[in-house]
Amino acid sequence: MDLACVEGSVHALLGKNGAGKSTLIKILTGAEQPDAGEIRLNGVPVRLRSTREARERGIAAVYQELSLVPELTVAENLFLGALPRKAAAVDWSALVRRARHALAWLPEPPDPHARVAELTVAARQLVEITRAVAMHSRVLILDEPTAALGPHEVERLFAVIRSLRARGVAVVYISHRLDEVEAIADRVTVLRDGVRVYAGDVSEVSREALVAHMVGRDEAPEGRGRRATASRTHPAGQADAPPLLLARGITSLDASGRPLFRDVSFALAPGEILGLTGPVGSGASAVARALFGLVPLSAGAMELAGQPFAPRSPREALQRGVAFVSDDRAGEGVVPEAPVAHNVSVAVLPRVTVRGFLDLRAERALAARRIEQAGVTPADPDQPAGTLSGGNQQKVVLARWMEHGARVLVLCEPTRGMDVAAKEDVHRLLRRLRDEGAAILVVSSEYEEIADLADRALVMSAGEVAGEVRGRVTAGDLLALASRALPEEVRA
Amino acid sequence: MRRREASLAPWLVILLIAVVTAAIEPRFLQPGNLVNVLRHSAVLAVAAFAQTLVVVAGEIDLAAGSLVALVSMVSVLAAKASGTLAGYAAGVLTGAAAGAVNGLLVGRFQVSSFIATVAMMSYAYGLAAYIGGGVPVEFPPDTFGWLGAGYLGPVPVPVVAALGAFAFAYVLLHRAALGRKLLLIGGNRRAAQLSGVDVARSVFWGFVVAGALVGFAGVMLASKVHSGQPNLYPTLAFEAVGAVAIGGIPLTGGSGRLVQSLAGALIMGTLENALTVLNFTSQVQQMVMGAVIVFAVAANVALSRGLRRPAEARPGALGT
Repeated sequence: MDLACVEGSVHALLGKNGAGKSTLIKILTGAEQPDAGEIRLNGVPVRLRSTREARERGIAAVYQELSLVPELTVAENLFLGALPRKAAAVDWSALVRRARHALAWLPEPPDPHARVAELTVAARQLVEITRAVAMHSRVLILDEPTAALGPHEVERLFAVIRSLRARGVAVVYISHRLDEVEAIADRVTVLRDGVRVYAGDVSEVSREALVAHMVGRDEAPEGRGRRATASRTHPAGQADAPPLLLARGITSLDASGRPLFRDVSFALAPGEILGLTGPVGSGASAVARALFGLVPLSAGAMELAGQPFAPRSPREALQRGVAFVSDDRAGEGVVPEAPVAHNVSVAVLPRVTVRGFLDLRAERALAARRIEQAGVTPADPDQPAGTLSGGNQQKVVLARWMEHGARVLVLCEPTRGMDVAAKEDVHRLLRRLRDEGAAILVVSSEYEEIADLADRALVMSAGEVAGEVRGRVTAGDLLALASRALPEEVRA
Repeated sequence: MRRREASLAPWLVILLIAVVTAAIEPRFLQPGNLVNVLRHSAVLAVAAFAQTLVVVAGEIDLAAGSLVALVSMVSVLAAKASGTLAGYAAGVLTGAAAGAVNGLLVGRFQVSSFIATVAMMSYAYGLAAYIGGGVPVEFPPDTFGWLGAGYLGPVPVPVVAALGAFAFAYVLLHRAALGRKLLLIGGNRRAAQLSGVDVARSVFWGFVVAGALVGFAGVMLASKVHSGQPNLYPTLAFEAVGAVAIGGIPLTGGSGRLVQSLAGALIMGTLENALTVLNFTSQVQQMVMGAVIVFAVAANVALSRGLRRPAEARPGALGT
């Protein structure tokens, strides 16, 4: 993997989720060590054994996960580790003065005395960027810096990046948004599956070509000019049935009042798989959690089978026939010590309870039947679920919901961390549930997974629905929508 | 296969203690002494069953020590006022009420069970002294002594009572929906919740039943000493935790068979009796028991750590 950043230029780094951008950044900032190859700074090979070493050499990064200390003030955070001193004590007035100076680039700079915990996510992001800039770095890495920012703040950020560029700083800019890349970057490198697949000047390459590089050639989006042909790949005739689940303009705010997602509307019919995707931070998984009562709505409404649906807890959602499969399998999926049978029956305990006592034989039989249907191997209802592979654990969770008979199944990253065969098994199982009439919503940050699975897909970006892909869903279309490179609706 | 071996281990420990002790002091094996072992283990066993219901859910109940003191006071007072059966019932209900408070705090208000039950321990200790004016309550009806000191033929009533408590707790833990839910909650609270288990409610009832069993143990003790004592068996909760740990039930929750707690209680009872037979003073016995409990808990934690895979890094819940 080669990446050459020139001082006084902005270098965009593009790639799908999981293409290797984050790993590359971690190596550049010393958080991880390369297996082979070398890093040169100003032509001199350097070894960056820790983030501290990288920082000392002038490489600073602003990550998506913020690294500020919430209990400290803005000023303290800005100069943490390099607090101005007077004798042995911190020089507070100098600290605040420097902080004000550093924050001056912002249209509405936060109060240096404010505790970071009191700031909005956007403001924290701006403080984080300010801190990296204030370190006078020679290389500044920005990882999706605009994910939480409004258009006005983005403009300001771009102005700062341009002035840094003019001062000779090399900026590495990571984004899903091709419009941003065109606006700010000079050069662009595209990563796919950990390999550099394109490098060149931004002015010399079209958006379509970039998208094609990101997804791989054969899955490139065909865009607007495509002929309208209905080519559903499954025989289910039910997809035209009236919707089972309706969401109208649902919005949810996080603790600091920033939307997790905003004005999201969709309809989910029995017998269809609706995909929901988008770059990390797009809000797609929060939407899924809202359907299960795990994230409260602050606006909008939902309907289930024509009745108002506003679950306040998982129990309430389950009672209405909505089940949820978490992306956190170990933390929210199986109970590892418990036998597979208990993991399947947990959602239907009343069904195997006779006058207050468990009918263990009936429970075991019911679980044995379901895990066989779900293809759990080994199909042993007595084995502790924690001893199974990730794919088989997920099948146990699906067996649970098959027995429960959920009408609506909401899944987050249903195949994360699985090998290809297990992935295919889970996909086949989901298709079968769909064909049996379940309404399925799959949230995945892997565009290929959505393309493979979904009958229809919504793409989210920065908390909003950026567009919809109907008919044949391709990874290219999804990526193009997420990158704002295509109009809002794509029909095949 | 390995599971069976593991569940056999505590029984082998009992055998080992018996063989060693009998080799030094053959009187240990006299039938009368063996019955003594069972009789002395009975109260601890009942407390250990109570503790098991709480431990499998990933919680702990440290209130039992002073709760049995409070129970003994209430029970004797009620027996003096309305008869032996009323006394027994009042004791069990007192335990259940304390369990309900613990369960509400832990289940509904998410107070850590360590804090909630230590607070209950302190409260019950104070209340036990308060209602008797700091002195024991004596002279309940003569029949009051039946449960703790009576005999059914050659078999001590407390042994029968402990077996009854075992049957009750066994059915509750392994054959009733409540026990299953407690096990699932202890194994993965969040997964249980997302599968529709009412965690707060289950934890509440788990503590209520555990409290009732501690109440029963308290009544057995009060009956045995034939009085209400404001400072009856202060180390009971710790010994119960020790018995559960020695039996091999992971204190992290999620798994456990009630028979393991029975074995653990019998190990502690056998050890205590062996020390008596071998003429160690009660002070030495206390020190040995303390050391054994600490050792058992430490070994338990180390073992269950080893069995569990290291916690996987959890992706941010709202990451995507």
